[in-house]
Amino acid sequence: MAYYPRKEADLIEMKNIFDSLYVCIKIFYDLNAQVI
Amino acid sequence: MFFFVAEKTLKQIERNENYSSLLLTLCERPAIPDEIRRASVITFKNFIKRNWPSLDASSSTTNPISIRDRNHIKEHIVDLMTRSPEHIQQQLSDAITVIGKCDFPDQWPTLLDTMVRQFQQPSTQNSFQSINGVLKTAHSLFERYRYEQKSDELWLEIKLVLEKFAPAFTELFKVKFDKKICFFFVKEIFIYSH
Repeated sequence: MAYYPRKEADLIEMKNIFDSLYVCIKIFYDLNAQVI
Repeated sequence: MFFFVAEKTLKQIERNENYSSLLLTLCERPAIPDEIRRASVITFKNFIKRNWPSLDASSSTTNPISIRDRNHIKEHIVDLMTRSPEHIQQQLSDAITVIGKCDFPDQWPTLLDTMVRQFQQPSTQNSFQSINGVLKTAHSLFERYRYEQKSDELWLEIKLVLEKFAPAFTELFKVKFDKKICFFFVKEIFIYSH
């Protein structure tokens, strides 16, 4: 039987979370770049 | 034709004191139509790009952005950016980057404190959307540490950032991504699988 999600995923919130995570990783890299 | 007249008028009043503050006030007010807010923030960003870097001793009297306006902008722009919707936030973040590249850290010592304060807001006011602006601004300021030649000046700046910014940033990362992400994805998976 086909499966349908009951509710739309909160795509905007999801995008914001991934954006934040991505930028956080870039900042960690920026701050450590001189010692790598 | 109307656009040319409007642009010309804006160009003429650029040199008035408080011009930049008025643009910021326009893009801050939710009651103002969105297209006007968008136009004012883009005008503000372009105005900053054109005029902020050119301040030196010889031009301080002729530069369109007075010292008072500069201080006012630096005092309020980070708070305003975190409160703004994404399309306005992006433009303000670009403007902060331009200002930061010229003034940070010597002439803008409070920038890191203001950013850190945004990270420490209670979680109800501290959405991913609002901290995203601060994070993107921080990255555009710190990006040059990747490729810049070693120097005492650069290392002093990195030391300052590591002392002031890094502890709050690491704490934010732990709080936001340990709990919130796990909760969010478990919730989504739970909704999809029932």
